[in-house]
Amino acid sequence: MYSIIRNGVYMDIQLKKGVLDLCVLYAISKSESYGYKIINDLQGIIDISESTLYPILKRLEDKGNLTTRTAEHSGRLRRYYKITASGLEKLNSGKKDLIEIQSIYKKLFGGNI
Amino acid sequence: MTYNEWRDELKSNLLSVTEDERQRVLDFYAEAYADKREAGKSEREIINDFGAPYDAAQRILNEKIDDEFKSDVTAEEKPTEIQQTDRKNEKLKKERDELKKECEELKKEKEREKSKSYGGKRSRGWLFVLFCIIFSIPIFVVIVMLASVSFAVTITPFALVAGGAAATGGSIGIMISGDIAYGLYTLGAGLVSLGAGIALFPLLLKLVKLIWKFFRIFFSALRRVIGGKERAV
Repeated sequence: MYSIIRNGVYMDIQLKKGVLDLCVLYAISKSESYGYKIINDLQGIIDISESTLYPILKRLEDKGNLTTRTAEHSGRLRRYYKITASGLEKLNSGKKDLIEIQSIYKKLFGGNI
Repeated sequence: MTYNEWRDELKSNLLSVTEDERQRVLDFYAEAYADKREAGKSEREIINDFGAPYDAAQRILNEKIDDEFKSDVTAEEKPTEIQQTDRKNEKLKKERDELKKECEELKKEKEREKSKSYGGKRSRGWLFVLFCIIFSIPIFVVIVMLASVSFAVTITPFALVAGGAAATGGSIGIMISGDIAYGLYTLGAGLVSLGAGIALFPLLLKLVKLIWKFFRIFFSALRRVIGGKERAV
């Protein structure tokens, strides 16, 4: 009983984290972007706030999935995020995972997600 | 809540991270705030978007804890929340054990000090007994000596007067019996003794007073010495 609940909670959090990572990588995959733009670009796809975004960006940077640079904008500094080769690889692998999950879901429950 | 207040609260909730990391978080929010203001949002709206500063800090801290322990994570392990709780519990347990140890050490130290002071009291008690044994004999001798001298000095003028009076009386009897020369000798001796006794009275009284004064000084000194020792015990 405990094991099922335990693993269930763990998987749920990991799944959410994985999806959020993919969303952020997707947002910076076309061109480099910054915090406010990433949130705006993801609006309508997933609900994400600054307090959620910062840890994700930090984690992806630590893993080498993105790089950052600081540039001046309107007399202040702004940090830009750019996807790396390993980030692109992760994004592509994540897409495949999502397609697989979608396929499993369809088989289990039928119809569209 | 103003943005500055929000930022200060976030900062105070991030004291456990490094200065660089804290600054980076603050820069991230400062940039987001400026971008949102540029986009025409009000301060209140932006604060609302950011959410509670405590929650924002917790997300960063949770991520940090996950990073620290990610090498241990496998699919069969506990979920992140449970891991965090376990770690917190472990930390608390460690702190509690350390406190317990410190308490035991303090207790032992206190007991050691207690037994030390009890031993000190006991040794002082024995010293007092030894002091009494050593000094009681000479003290007793001095008391007896002073009492004897006092008694002797007090009795001497009375004895001289009584002896002189008896000799004077006796000399009259001797002269009546016919031995006038011996009777006069006895009379002379009796009168000398009587006179000496009367003459010595004030002098001997002074001497007795002096001895009693010495007595008082001696006893008060003795009382001070014994009383002091008793208080120390």
